[in-house]
Amino acid sequence: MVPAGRWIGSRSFAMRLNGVLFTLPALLLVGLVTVLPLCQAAYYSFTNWNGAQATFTGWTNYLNMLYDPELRRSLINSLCFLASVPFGLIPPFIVAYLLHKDIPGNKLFRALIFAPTALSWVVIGMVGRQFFALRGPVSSLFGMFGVAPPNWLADNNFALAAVILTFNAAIFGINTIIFLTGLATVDRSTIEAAWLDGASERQVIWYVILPAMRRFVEFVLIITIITSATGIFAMIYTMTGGGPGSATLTLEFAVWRRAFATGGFGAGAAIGIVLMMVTLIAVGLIRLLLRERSEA
Amino acid sequence: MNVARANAAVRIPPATAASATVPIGSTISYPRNCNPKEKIMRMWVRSAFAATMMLGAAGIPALADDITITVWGQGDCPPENCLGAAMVEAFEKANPGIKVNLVQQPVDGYFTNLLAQSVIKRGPDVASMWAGGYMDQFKPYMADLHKYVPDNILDSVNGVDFFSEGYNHKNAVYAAPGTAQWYIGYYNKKVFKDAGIDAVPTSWDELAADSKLLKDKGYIPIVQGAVDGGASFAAWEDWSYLATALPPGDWSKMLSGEMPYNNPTMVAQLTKWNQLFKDGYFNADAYNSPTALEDFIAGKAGMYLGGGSWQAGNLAKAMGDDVGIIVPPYSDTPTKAAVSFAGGGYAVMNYSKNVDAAGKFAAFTLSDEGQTVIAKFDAPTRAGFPNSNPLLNDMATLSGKADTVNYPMFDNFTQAPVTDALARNVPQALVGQMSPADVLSSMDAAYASLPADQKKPISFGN
Repeated sequence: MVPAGRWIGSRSFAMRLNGVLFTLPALLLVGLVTVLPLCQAAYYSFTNWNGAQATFTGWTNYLNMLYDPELRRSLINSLCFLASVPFGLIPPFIVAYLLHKDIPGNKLFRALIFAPTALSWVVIGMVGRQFFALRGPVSSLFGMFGVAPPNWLADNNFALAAVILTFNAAIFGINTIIFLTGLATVDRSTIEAAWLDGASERQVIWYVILPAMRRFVEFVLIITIITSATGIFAMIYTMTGGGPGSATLTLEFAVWRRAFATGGFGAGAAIGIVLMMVTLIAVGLIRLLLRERSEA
Repeated sequence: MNVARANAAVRIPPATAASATVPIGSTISYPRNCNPKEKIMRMWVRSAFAATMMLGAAGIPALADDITITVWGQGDCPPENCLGAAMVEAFEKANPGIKVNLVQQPVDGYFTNLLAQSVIKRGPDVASMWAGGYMDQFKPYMADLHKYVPDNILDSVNGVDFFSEGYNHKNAVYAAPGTAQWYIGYYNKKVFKDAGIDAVPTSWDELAADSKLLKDKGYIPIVQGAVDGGASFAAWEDWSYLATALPPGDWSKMLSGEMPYNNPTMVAQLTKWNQLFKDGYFNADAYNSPTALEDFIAGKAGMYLGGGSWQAGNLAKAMGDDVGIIVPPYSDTPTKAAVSFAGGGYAVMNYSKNVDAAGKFAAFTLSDEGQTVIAKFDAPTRAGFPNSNPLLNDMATLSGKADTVNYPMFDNFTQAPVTDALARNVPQALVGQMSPADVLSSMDAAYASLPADQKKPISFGN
């Protein structure tokens, strides 16, 4: 007869084994499509891989990045995109809040706001390019006021702003919808209680709604950061090609340019690793900040 | 052969499902092999298997014998004027067992895309290829065409050496030259006449004077823009003609690092080019106008100087006799330069699963039939196949003149980082975003960044 303790132990082992077996396919998949390429990228970042042959070069690719003005510019541009993330959050929240208040025609507004989110980044880039063209609507608007507009996307001073604006316009719809969903989960009785206690609208939003929607805000913030850092290559490619010069070059775009336009796959891998670190740090800081705030 | 076994496989066991009444809400438990859903599923699987086996046994050949190869072309290929499509049609007619899937890829980023696909061996079977530096990076992925093209044909093809190892077609030949090509400008004869200009400009001074006349008449003197679908214009053509201020020998020196790009002659050339823009002789959105070519065709502009022979067919069709060729007159003295090269070739990728069929396609383009097809659209690479486009004949005449100094296309020889710097920064010199010296320094810096094995002397071959 098997002692009770051993029996329990073997059942626990069997359950663990089952768990491992059930998750094994998923683990293998993640390992093959994420972990393995990541390890490969990390390895190649220490080589001068040209796509066919690789020789170990140590930290050379990383050290070269420190002295490369183009990469410094791309890092600054990427940080500008990150800095613009609040603009991708606040207007969508305001619009979502207004739509949630059942203003007349809100269903139509929801459809209009959400429709552009079905567009690919390539299409968004092409629309943005036409929008900011010298003979496009933005320039025409300036022309109406007698102001000679610059060639926005060809001008070192304006191209990045135009691309950032397009990015924030593109994520406006999806962020609004997520906030709308979040607002629907907020307990209405809590809001009504706050009204009865004499809270102003600003106080209700700040002290009741936002804390209740913390998870949604965090989610929107994180996906917007990740998208701004790693998901808009196609938009930049079609709008400006990273130019003029390096004016709209981001770290993400620099990975492609270094690897494929100049054949430096090892250097491209190194930029990719740096990009990943920057993104992880930004996301980590945001999570830390929000957690501390919620605990306080 | 397998018909009997296949028929046996579709035999269905006798029905055994219970027909007793079952209370609503209770769980039905069937004996093994008796669940009706399972039976239906098994029946479908077996039927499908049997059908497959029978089709195989009946010897239906359709799918097994046809070979499909993918050919990558570059840029737009309008159905009414597409050499690639006509070539494919003629090839399929001559080779009934081979189907060709022609895919036109954007010019912008074409080689980076092809390289990315080649590294993972997922690229096309046949790829449009440019000679010189563009091709060098693909040498590990391209098949030698000697296996597919007879030597006597290769001996008769103009420009084949540019696609060969060591610029000699007795060595490995990596691509079949598709056409003879020129970098060239175009002008609108009607607009010139309207502005009172009776001869094309041949120097900087004449270009500025004629541009003023055109501008005064309300035309855009010179139009430029992102005509290839890119985000900005590619300056390959302009750069090559700007660099004709130097003799061909100095080109080799610049390309080999013996002479800096940032030299007084090139600084002066870029400065004069930028002066045209400053004087309002280019369209204000020359850097990235998406409608530059349309404006030229519509008669809004007098000249389009950043073009090439590949546009001759469309321009002749759209403008008729109103369009003529002009050598970009970026010269202090009357220009005698012509920039020409073997045009895009057809490279057989050695990772192709149908490499022989791909080889047949490349060989076909050089055959009499293939050259006849090319002659309907462009300049063929073998003699004896005249084409009907007067613009192309004018280009051939230009190159053949005794006093013409023929240059190759500069960017076909620049190393990838230098090409990248050229593409990104030279357009900025035109519109004044970067100073000429800074642009040229960026090219020198790109050359300096090359690994030692890429800093080798470059000659233009034959």
